[in-house]
Amino acid sequence: MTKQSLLLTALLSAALLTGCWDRREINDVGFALATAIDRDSKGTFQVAVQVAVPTALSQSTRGMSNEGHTPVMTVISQGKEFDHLRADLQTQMSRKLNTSHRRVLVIGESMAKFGLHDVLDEFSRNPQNRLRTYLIVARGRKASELLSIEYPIEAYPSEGIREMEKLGLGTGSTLRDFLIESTMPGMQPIVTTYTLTKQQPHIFKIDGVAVFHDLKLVGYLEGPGVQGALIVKEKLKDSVFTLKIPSGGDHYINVQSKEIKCKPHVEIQNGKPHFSYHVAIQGIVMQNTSKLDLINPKYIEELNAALAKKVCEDVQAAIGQLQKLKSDGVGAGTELYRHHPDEWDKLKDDWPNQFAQQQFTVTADAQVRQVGMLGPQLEIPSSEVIK
Amino acid sequence: MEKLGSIQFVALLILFQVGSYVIFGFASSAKQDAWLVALLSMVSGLFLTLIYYAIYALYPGLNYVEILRRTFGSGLGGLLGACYLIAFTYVAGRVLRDFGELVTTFILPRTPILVVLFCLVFVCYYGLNAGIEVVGRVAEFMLFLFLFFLLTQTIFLTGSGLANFEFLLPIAHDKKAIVQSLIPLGITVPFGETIAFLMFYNQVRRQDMVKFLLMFSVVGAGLVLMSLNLLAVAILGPELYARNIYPMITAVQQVSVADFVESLDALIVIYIGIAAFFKITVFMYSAAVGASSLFRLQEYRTVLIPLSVAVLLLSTFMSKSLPEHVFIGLNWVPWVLWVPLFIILPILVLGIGMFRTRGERGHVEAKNR
Amino acid sequence: MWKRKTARKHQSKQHAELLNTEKLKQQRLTSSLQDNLDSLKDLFGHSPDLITRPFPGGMVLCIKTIVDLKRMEESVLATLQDGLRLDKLAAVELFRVQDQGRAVQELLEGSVLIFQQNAEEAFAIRIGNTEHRAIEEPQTESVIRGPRDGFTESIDVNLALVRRRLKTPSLRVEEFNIGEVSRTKVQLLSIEGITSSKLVNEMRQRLETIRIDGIMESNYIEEFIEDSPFGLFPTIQNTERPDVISAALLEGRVALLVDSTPFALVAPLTFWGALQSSEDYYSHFTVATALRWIRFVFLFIALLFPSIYVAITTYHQEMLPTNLLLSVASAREGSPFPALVEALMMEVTFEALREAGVRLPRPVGQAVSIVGALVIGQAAVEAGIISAPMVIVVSITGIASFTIPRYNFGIAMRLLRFPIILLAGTLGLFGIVIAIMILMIHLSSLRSLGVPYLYPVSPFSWQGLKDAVVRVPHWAKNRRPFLLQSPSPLRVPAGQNPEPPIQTPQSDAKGGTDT
Repeated sequence: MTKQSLLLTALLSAALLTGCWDRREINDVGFALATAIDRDSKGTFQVAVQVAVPTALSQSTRGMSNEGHTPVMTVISQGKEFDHLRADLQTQMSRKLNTSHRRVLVIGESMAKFGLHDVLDEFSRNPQNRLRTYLIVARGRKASELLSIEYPIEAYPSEGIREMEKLGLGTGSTLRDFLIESTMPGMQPIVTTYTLTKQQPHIFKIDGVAVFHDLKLVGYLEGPGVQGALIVKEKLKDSVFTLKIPSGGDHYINVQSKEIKCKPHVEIQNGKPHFSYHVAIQGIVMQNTSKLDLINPKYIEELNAALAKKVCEDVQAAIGQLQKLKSDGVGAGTELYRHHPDEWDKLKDDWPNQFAQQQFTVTADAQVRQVGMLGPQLEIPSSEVIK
Repeated sequence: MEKLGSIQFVALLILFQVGSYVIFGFASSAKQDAWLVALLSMVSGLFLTLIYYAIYALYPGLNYVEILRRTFGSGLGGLLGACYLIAFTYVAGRVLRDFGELVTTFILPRTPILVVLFCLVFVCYYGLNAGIEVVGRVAEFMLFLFLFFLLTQTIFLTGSGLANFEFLLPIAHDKKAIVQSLIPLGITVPFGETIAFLMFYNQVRRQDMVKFLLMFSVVGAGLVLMSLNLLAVAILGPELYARNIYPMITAVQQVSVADFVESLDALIVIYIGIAAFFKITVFMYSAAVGASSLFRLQEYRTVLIPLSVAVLLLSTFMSKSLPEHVFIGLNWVPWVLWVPLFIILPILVLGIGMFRTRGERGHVEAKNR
Repeated sequence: MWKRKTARKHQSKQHAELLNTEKLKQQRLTSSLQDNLDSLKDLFGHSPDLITRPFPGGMVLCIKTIVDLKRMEESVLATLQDGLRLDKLAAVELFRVQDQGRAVQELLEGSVLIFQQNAEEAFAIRIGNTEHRAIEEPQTESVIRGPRDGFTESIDVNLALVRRRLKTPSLRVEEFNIGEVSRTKVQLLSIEGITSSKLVNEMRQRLETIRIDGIMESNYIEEFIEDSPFGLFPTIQNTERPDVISAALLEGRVALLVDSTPFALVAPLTFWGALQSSEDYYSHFTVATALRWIRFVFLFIALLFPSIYVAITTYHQEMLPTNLLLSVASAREGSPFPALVEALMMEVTFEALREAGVRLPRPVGQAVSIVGALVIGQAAVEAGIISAPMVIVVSITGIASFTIPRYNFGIAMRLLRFPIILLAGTLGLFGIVIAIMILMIHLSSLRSLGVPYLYPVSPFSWQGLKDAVVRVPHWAKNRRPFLLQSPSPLRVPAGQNPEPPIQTPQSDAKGGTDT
């Protein structure tokens, strides 16, 4: 026992005397909150990193006002060689750059078109990086522009992007999702795109979905295709569908989606794969400008049919657009690979072209469950209400 | 001689078998079929363990070095025993290096690896110095803790909504990958490694239970490995799982519950402590017990300090870099060490033993007539 | 199982030389009254409180400071006025004394020695003054619900308190006089038929081998009979509460009462036992179980919280949620010391505060704690010398360490904190894990009177868990702890769980039609 405790003391003092190699006080670390990667037309790369300024971030710091302090500091590094930029970033920082709390990675449009091969390796190799970082594309803008705005509602702009991704309006793609989708046989990643609004240039908005192929941006989904893609990926949380039903005439009824399930199915018929998607969706009526009393189940039936039709159209639109881009953003190939791996082996080498030629059947089962607090509109006289 | 209780023996076995795979992942080269490899490996592990037990059943109460001597005579048997000792010491060093590399990659990048290795070896030395019974008691306690943490991890990971079990499809499409990861690695580790326990089967208090305990632990460890693989693939997807050197760590890092439980990295450090301790300790203990019966020493503790130093030095100088270390571990060690020592030689020992006992029995019967 | 180095032979001949007790035993009383008195007076160095009183036909000898003078006058001297007549002596304890050794012993016990002319023996009447502190509520183990009496410094009162709780002839009390100078009474308590004789023998053997000049407090004994003398953790429980002793005896453990201290000892003690309070058994089992779990949690906090704080803020910043991290970072901005130094400084200060609070008279002590905790903490943070999170961490740790019911166990935990903080400061979480592994090995290797310290978790015992990790209702705690090897392990016959009566008069009256 004495011998052991002596040894223990020896161990302790040995550990102490030799020092603390990895010790790094929290104030000697600069925490990157977001990174924006851009490439201009001349081929110059730019990496902008937003680093938190802790004192400015905590509002109640000893009663001092935060005027003159911005909560983040942006460090920008430019160069022809992408690989050199990280080293260059540290030369501009008084604190050791730590990326473990980075939550958002913004890719500029031209960078995305150039390809993300070089970007992703560093992100998945360095153990400091978290795969939970959200990945988004800045559409028609430089990525750094999205981050350089003031965003008073959140402490810093990237927090805004993160919260928006969590709301379920976009694909909510994290690096992990991106890496999985880009490496999965028969699947290509799709990610949310953001842009600055035209009316107020200091506010960003979700703009659509970017489609990648072989880690290069090949195009965007537009209009109903955005919603369609999100439905297939079961990413859509509460989106609003504007519907018209036969009994309602020209008026619209807004239905908010509640729960969406999308079940893909692949069948081999005559040696050829046949893909079908079945969407089950539930909704709540949010707005009713028609004169209908929605308590009547008949209208709900019509509403269900209209919602199902709309969902099918959206999904078809998404698939159509993806087929044009020859990028399997919905993972149809993956379904084939999972359930009929032998068929997949035959098709996999030519899959982008094969995908563009496939026929997809989309069915939907829509259920409007609730109509809110009112049957008919409140303002119209009861004589005009169509029961 | 110190005695091990039944739960202690099982706890040691399970922690020994599952230990490092909670961090390193098991058979990750088989991608989404890793769980299948775990299952097949478990079945082969059952056979191997049965062989080991059959050897022991022929010579109850003896440790493996004594059995080897009995089988091959003092000279050759002693030589083979020495081979095992060297192998166990070497493997202890390898495991130590594995964990040292892990700690310096993941937790303490700028700390000299020697410090990390020293700390780990010291804990093992301290444990063994206290005796295998104490190690067994620690194992008993740690097994509960370990299972509790695994459960927490599983709940958090599935609760984060990250697990997608579709990633497991298609099942067994790439049969080549399954076979490649099964032979020789899958059938030798971790279940083949339990030959180290053959050095102290005789220290289990309930000798009648040994066989059951062995089977139980192999099945238990196999199931744990399988479910871990299932979960990790469901979270990382097949490619990320296969490419990542530390897939389990990456999987655990994905946890995010209610913006508060942001990562369970702390769990990984705990796993490292538990896994490294039991794996290295068991190998070291087997080597020490073997050495003490090889050199006819009273106490295995006499060899502990030289053994600890040997393990420490081996692990420090065995390879220059992690890639070299992993390369040797995957391509050389299984064929050079594991297949002959874990499979071929035990079968030989069993064959000779059975032949002899049959001969003896025949001899006795003849005499009786 | 009973591994203990018994070979504790003592070569201390000087002691025997100094005290001459054995030699005194040889010296028989002589027929000369004067010789006897003189030699005894010589032995006591003519101490002023050694007084003699003549009576017809003899002499009375006593140490006046330790006898009850009133009783001496009334029941001894008064009767002796007519000469010594044994049948007239109203004495409960009357002994014949035939040698000087016994005479000395009796004098020191508070007896009055009655010497007669020409007799080779004397009579001793024990009328020692039984003055003792009134029975008060124990200071160190206060409870909300539960008995309020505590041990005093008088061993007789203490034994009486135990006897009052265990009214059985099977209560075995063995008395030892330990301490060659102090001759302190130590009583080994056990219950015949419940306590394993192995345990009693082991304890007896350990007590018999103690050679020391004096016992001032039961800790003197404790340090002699511990299984692992260098461990920080207590392997023998001390308590001021007679109910705790009685309950321990009923579990099959052994207890030691030591004269002149209110702290009795109980062995064996396990790790889990050290986390139990007597009140666990006096409150509802669900509450008791919940409280136990809170104690487990706070035990870890008390041991590890500052270390984890240091490790995470200086090594593993990625483990904190971002917002928390940024708050901590902003609070630490401008703080001049590294987190490790800060933690050590604050922890040492806290321990010093606690120590100051204990040592000072109570009203001042409180003032010290308030000044220390509030003023220094607040001022240090405002001056920017110490960061606010560190003050929070240290306070929580302090509170946590006070949730541990056994004071000496809590101290062990608090002291262990310092090496762990150092390890955390050099190796981060890895250092903490290394420390925990070493601690676990140490705890697993500990035994208390042969019982593994972590029993019933490892070695695992289902029955034992019923009173370690949880506290099951009293009717379900069927067996005594297995490792105590009690000869009658059954404690509570099964099947006593209360249930509502199957048919009550009311349900007969109105419930019949309902169904």
